[in-house]
Amino acid sequence: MTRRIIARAALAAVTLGLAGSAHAAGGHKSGEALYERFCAPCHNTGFWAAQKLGARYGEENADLRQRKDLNASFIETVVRQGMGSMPPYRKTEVLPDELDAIADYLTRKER
Amino acid sequence: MAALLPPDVAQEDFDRALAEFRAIVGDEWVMTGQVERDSYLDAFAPGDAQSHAASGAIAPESAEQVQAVVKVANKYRIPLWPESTGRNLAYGGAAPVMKGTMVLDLKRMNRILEINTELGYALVEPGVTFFDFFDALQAKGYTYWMSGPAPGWGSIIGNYLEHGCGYTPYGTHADQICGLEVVMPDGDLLRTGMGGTGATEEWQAFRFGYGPVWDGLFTQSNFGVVTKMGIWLMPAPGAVANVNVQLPGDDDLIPLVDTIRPLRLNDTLNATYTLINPYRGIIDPYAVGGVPRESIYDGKGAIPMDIVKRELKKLNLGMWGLNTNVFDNTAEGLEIKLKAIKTAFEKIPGARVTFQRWHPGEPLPGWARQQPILFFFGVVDWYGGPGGHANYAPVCAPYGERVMTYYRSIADRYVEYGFDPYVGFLSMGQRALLINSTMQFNKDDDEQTGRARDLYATLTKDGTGQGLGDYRAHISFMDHVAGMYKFNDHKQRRLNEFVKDALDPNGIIAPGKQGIWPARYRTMRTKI
Repeated sequence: MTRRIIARAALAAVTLGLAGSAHAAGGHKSGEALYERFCAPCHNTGFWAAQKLGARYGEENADLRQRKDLNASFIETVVRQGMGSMPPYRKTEVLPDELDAIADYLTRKER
Repeated sequence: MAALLPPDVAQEDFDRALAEFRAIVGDEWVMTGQVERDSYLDAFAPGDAQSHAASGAIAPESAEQVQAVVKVANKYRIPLWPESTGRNLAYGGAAPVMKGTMVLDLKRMNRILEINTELGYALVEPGVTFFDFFDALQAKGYTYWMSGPAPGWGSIIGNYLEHGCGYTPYGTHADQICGLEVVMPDGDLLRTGMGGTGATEEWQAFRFGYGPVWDGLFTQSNFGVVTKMGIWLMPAPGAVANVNVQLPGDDDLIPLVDTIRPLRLNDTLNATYTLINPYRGIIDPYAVGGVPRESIYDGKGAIPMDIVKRELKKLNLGMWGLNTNVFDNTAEGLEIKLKAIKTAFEKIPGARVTFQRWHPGEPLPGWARQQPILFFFGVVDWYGGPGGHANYAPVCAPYGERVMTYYRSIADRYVEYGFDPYVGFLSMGQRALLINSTMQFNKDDDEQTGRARDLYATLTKDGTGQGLGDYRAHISFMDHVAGMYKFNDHKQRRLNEFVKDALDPNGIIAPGKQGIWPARYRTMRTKI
């Protein structure tokens, strides 16, 4: 019952336009966590985009995490404008600082 | 100067509206630049995506901001296209029906306001995705299971409002809606059902409230902007099995449908099921597994059936397949169901029936379809890519002969237009099937994309003559599908537009959605 009251209080606060304590979806901060959320379902080894990239650029370039030739500007362009069959991610979906974190993760030399 | 204006809106009014929108949501969240506008185009458009281009986008972060935006939109008569996450892929994504409409992007409203583990429901905002919700349920111990669609990218609210489905006993999503908060076209705020009392304890407990049940008014419509939704959650099962049936005969769709019908009605089969035609039988594993189409066939037109049969044999698949999951509260109860299922299907000559089981404490297998995935997007590149796709899915009562008749009609058209007839029949509740056909095309190939558009239009014309109705439509074909509901001079459409004009006299919410046009823009209806 206590949990329910707290949840309802949170809802009331949100409804009144106050700073809600309700669970905000997402909230992942690290570049790796953001990559796992937004990119991995297609780009990790064995998945659709990894297969496409592997067929085009060789297996060593199939998984984005293996790539050595990515830079932040290119990552931002692909994410914001899409490429091939990949739809773009809008800034409401991947926030600008989240995109920076993903680009930082993918371009970091040591992972 | 704006690159694109909404129809019937002067430049100075548009500029004034943008300034007032910025004052409400902040400069950053009123987007009119080319790259930002293009990000709202349909990424899988069957044709010129610019024919549904938005004039801009506004992204509020609360229901209060949505109310304020809608009031300004009324003042300057700016049409708005609400979208939750814009991942209504195959149906237009985030793009509006009417070129020049501004997108009302609700993705920033991404709070899971409540997951109630005592009564089994959740209250969510439009920007919450199935990925988000899976994580939140896991954090609560996963005592309730999610019902997710094939791809997990999209919004819960978007999918439930558009009559989407999942693969559990709670898989007919619109049936699980209990309580909406809606910003009306005049900016007023409505809570449906028990939300009308102002209290919240019963809002997600009882759908009916007192008087008319309004929840349905806001699904597949343009009568308001849904800002909160209550959904019912399924308690974690005590045992689950995946059921796969393979049948060898060309006409075995008929006994397959007739065998399933009583099992689904009495809940032996108690979740959404998928029937798989011979083409889908090979395309799914090959497309997702990276096997290119040209490696099995590089001729013109649809893959010939003798090659399809050869590949099915290689894959150890039958001509027709059934894939579904069966749920029970106990392992013993599950085994009783499985025995009945095996007995029923093995009456069909040549049937192969296989089961996989899951019990609490074991890792969730992929076939349980709990972990959201994007697995199925591989299929869009079947013709090499970059791919697009669109679905034509008329509703059909599950009588074997009837389903076969309309399946053949659809599949023959695919072959006539040179496409592989990729068809998966989806159950919707206990008494309906969707003959869910998908046309894949290379979106850079204008000739092939044009053929796909022609095929879609022909299928809706055929269906209209057959007395069928599609359950959902791509934004380019919403008028075609609305036209299928033709009884009494399209009384449903006439009623919808009567309601539309009463609720939204300025015609600002999603003109043309579901073929419902406000008086102001009614001449823009597609001539069919």
